[in-house]
Amino acid sequence: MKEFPANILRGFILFLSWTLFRPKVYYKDKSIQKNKITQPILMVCNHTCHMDGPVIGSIFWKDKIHYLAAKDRFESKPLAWLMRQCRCIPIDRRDLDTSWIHGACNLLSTVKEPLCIFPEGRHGKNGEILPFHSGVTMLAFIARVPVLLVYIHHSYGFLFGKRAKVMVDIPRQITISPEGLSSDFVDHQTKELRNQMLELQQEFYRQTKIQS
Amino acid sequence: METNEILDKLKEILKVVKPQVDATNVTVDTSLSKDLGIDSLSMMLLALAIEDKFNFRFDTVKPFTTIGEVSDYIKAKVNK
Repeated sequence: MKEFPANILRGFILFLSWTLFRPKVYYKDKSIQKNKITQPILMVCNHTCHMDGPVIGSIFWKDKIHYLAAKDRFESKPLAWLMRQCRCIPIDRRDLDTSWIHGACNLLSTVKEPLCIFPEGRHGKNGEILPFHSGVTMLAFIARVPVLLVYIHHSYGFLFGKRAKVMVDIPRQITISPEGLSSDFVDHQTKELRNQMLELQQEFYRQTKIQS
Repeated sequence: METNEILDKLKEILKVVKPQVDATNVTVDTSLSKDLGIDSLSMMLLALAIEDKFNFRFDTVKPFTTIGEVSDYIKAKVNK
């Protein structure tokens, strides 16, 4: 009962996002289209604008998605409150902070709810997919959960603008290193994950016949 | 726990996190970035490995510059 007002607020935001951006979703494997996400999963999205989070939420509205967001966004009290209601977890990118990794791992392995991350950390210009930060790989390794890549096409606008177009990959398991978590290995896996996102982008262009 | 003991365990961790670095010559004065090439990614991995090995959690802190600072931090946490 305590969560009730937050649920209403989240529902309203997601409904508003769905109405404004009218997301159209393409699936690499159409069999996952109608299924609710039943396993804890790390959803990895490219970042095109501030509205990406609500767009993703409106697509996967049946799933209790949590988001990782930069701690800077929590500096304003009203925004911080709103973001917490929308299940956002702050990441401190400046100082040495491991609490977000533990919090996120607990969410994935104990609470077993999906988590969404934008590993570029900021928006790329004109759909460019920027290098990924390695936190995403560390998280996937430590929580031992599959990764679901979601490509968001960059050109979408409010209400009468273009519809948001999104392509959903199939869940992938990240390779575990037998020697432990070395920086080179994490770095390599992070680059590999970005390459898979670039492949998904190409798949999106093939399916939609949109010119890149 | 004494500094030498902490240093030995840190060397073991370094062998995993940064296998290309020769950890045998690491002292309290060794610089993390200049001597060991530790960047923010390696520092995060190092912190996670330290937490596992010494069984405590890092509070949010400014990044360390030398191995001595890391070992002092661990000492303070472990001997609390």
